[in-house]
Amino acid sequence: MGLKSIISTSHLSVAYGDKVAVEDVSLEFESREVSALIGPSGCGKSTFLRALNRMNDFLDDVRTSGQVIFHGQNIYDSKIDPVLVRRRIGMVFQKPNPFPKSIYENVAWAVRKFGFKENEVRERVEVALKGAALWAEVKDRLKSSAFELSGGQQQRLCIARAMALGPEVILMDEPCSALDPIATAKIEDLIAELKEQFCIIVVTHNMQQAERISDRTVFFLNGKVIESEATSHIFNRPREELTKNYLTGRFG
Amino acid sequence: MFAKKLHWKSLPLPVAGLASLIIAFLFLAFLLIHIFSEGAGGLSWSFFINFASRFPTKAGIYSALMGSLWLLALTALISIPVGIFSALYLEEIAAKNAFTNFIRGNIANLAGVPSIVYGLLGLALFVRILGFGSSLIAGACTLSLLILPVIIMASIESLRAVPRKLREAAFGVGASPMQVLFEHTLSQAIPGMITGVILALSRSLGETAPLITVGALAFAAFLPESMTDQFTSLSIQIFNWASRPQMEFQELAATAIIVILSITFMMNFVAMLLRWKLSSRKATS
Amino acid sequence: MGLTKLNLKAASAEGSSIGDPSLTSVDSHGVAAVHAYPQVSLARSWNSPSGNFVEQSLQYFLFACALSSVLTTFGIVFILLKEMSGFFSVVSVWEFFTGTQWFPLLSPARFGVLPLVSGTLMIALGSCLIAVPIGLLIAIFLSEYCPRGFRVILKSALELLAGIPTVVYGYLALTFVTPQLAKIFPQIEVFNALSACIVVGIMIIPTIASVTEDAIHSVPGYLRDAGYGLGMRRYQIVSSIVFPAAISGFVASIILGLSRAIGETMAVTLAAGASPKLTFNFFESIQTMTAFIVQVSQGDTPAGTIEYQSIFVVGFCLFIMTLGTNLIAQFVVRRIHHRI
Repeated sequence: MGLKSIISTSHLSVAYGDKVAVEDVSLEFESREVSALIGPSGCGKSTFLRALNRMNDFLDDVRTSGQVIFHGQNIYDSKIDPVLVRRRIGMVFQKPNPFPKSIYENVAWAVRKFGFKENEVRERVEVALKGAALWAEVKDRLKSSAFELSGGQQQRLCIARAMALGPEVILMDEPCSALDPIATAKIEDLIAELKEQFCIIVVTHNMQQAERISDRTVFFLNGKVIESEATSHIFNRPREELTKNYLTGRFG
Repeated sequence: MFAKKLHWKSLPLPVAGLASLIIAFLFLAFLLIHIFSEGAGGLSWSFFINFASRFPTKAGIYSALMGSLWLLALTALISIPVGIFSALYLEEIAAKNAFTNFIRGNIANLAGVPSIVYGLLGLALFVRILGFGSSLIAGACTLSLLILPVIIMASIESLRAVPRKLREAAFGVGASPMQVLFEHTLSQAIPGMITGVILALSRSLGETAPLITVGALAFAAFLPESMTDQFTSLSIQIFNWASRPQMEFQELAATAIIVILSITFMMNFVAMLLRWKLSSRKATS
Repeated sequence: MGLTKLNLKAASAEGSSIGDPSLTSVDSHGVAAVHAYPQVSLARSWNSPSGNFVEQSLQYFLFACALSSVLTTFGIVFILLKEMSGFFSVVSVWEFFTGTQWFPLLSPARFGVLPLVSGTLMIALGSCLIAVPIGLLIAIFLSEYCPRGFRVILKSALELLAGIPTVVYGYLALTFVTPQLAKIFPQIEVFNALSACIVVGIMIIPTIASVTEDAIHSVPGYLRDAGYGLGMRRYQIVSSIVFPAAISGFVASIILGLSRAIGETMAVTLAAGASPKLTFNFFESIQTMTAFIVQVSQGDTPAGTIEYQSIFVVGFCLFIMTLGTNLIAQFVVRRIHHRI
C-alpha cells in the first residue's frame, strides 16, 4: 500500500502550436516524497508540472496527449471535471500570488466554497497557517491585506492556501525563485515538513536546492526525461552523460 | 564649445504645438464664456420646475430633465449588465476562434457607426416592429445599443489589466470557471469598468439625433410616468430652442446647455478621478 | 509543533472527504490515513463544480449577451436593406446615384443623392483640414515636449472637448461662430458650411490627437536613441525618425476623424442648414446626409411612404461610408503593429 504511486503519467506530451514542450514522459510519483524536476530553462519541466493538474488548459493553442493517472482515472479524459482534479492537487506558483483579500480570506475563500461551516473554516485556516509556519507571524493581523506581507511570507501564505483544502499532491513551480536566501531557507524547511503528509513535486532551476530538499530528482532536457533517480544517486553517480554534464555546469 | 545654445530651428515645432493646444482650449474657453454670458441669467429655480412653453419667460426644463434622467436610468439598466457580461464572455470564456474574432471586430466596427444610424434601427425595430411606440423604453433601448460597444471595449480593457496570476491562483485552489470569473476577476476589473460605463452614459446623455429619429417629442408639458410613456429630453429641448430664431429661445438653450454640461462634466470628472486613483493604486501594489 | 502536525493530517483527511461522504470513516490519525486513498470520482456531472446547472447556464447567458452586438449589426443591415428594397422599387438606382437634385418632399419628388453626398464630403474634408494639422501638432507636443505631469492633465482636458454633446457644438456654431464669421465675410449666410466645418473640426481634434499620440508613443525608444547617438536635435528626431515611424497611426487618425465627421449630425443640422445643393461654396447653406434624416424624422412620416424609406436609403449610404473608412483605418493600424 505504502509504495503505490499516487499520481503517474504515461506517454504524456504537451505542445504549444508547433513546438513540442514535453515529449513522451512516463513517470510515477509517490506520496510522502519530494520529487524535484530540474533542467535548463525551456526544457519543459514547468509545462510538465502544470499538466499534472490541468493548469495548461488556460493557455491558448495547447495540445496534450498521453495520460495523467490520478485516483485510477485519466484526468485528461473528457468525462473529467478539471476543477475536481485541482481541488485534490494543489499548486504553488513561481511568484507569490495571494488574492487581493485579507490574510484570513486568502486561505478561507476556497475552504468556504467547499461547503465548510464558518467555525470549521476558521479551524482549517489556523491549522493551515500553522502548517505553513506562518501563524505566529500573522495571528494578530489576520484581517490586514495579504499584500502587506513580505514576499517570503506571501509565498508561505500561498502554500497554506493550497494546504487548507487537504490536497493529496502539492505542485510547486520554482517556489523560491522570487525570494531572498533567508525566505528560501524557510520554504525549504517547510517542504521538508510537509513531505510527511503530501506528495510534493517541485520544479527548480537551482541544483543545490534540488539536492537539499528532494528524495528523487528528474532531469529534463528538451522536453524529454533524461534521468529519474533517487537524488543521492543522481547527484553522486549520474547514469547519463548528459546529466553529468548539466550537473557539472557544462551547459544550462 | 559645448555650451548649451538654443538652435533657432528647434523652436517652430514646440511653439506650433503649444499654439495648437492653446487654440483648442481657447475654443473651449470661448464656448464656456459664451454659454454662460447668454444663459447664466436664465438659471433660476423656476427654470427647473417649469414645463416647456411658447412664452420664453415661462419656459423651463422640467419635463426634459426628467425625461433625460429616465433615459439615463433605463439605459444604464440595460446597457451595463449586457455590456459587462459580453465583455466577460469575449475576454474570459470564448475560445480564440474565428467566430470570437468576428464578434470582436464587429464590436469595433459598431463603435464607429454614426448614432443616427442607430436611431434608424431604433425607429424600425423598437418603435415599429416591436411596437414600443415613441416611448422612453424605445429611446433607452436605442441608446443602449449605441453605447454597448463602448462599454464592452472598456470592460475588455479593464479585464485585460487583471493580472493572469490572480486567475491562476483561483484556479489553483479549485475554483470553478464561473467562480473565478465572478468572485475574483470581475471584482478586480469593476473599478476600471465603472470608468468606461460613466463615460459611455455621459455620452448617451448628450445624444440627440437617435432620439429624434425614434420620435422623441419636441414639446412636452407633462412628466413621463412609466417607461411606455412618450418623452422629451434635455438634448432635444436644447436642439428645439436653438433652432428657433428668437433671441429669447436661444438664451433658454444656453441655460439648458449649462445644465447638461454641468452633468456631463461632472460625470467625466468622476470617471477621471476614478482612473487616476486606479493608476496610482496600480503603481503602489 | 507536534500538535500542529497532527491537526494538519486531520485536515488533510477531511479534505479528501470533500464530495465523498464515505471517506469520513477512514482513520484520520497518522500515516495510514494519508496513504489510504479510496477510489474517488473526478468525473464531471450535474453537481460537479464546473458541470453543474448554474455554472453551465451562466456560460450560455454570457454568450447570449455577447451575441447582442452581432444581432445589432444584423439588425442594422437587415432593416436598412428592407426599406431600401421598397425605395428602389419606385426610384431607379441610376437616378439615385447620379441625380443632382434632392427634393424628396416636393412633387414631383427628385431623388438624386449627390447633393447630400457633396454636402457631407464638404463638412468632412473641411473639418479635417482644420483638425488634422492642429491634432497632429498637439500629439507631437504632448508626447515629445510636454512635461510628464502636464500631459495627463492636458489629455484629460482634451477628453472634455470630446465629451461635449454635439448639439452644444451646433448651438455654438449658430450663435457664436457664424456671427464672428459674418464680421469677416459679410456675404456669409445664416446657415453655412464653414461654421459647421469649424465646430466639427474642433470636435474631432481629440480623436486625431489621441490616436496619433498613441502611435508616436509606440515608436520604440531605441530609434530615438539612434538619433541622439548621431547628435541630432530633437526637432530633427521628431521630423525624420519619430514621425515617419508613426505615420500609419497618423493616417489612421485622419481616416477615423473623417468617419466621425461624416456621421456627425446635430452640429451640421443646426449650423449648415437644410438646403441640399451641389455646391462647393462654404459660405452657403447646404444639407448633409445626416441632417436630411433629422429633417424627415422631425415630422411624423408614416411608415411605408417613400419619404420614410428615403431616410433608410440615405442611412444605408452613411453606414457604408463610415464602415468603409473604419475598416481602412483598422487595416492601417494593423499594419503598424506588424511593422514595429
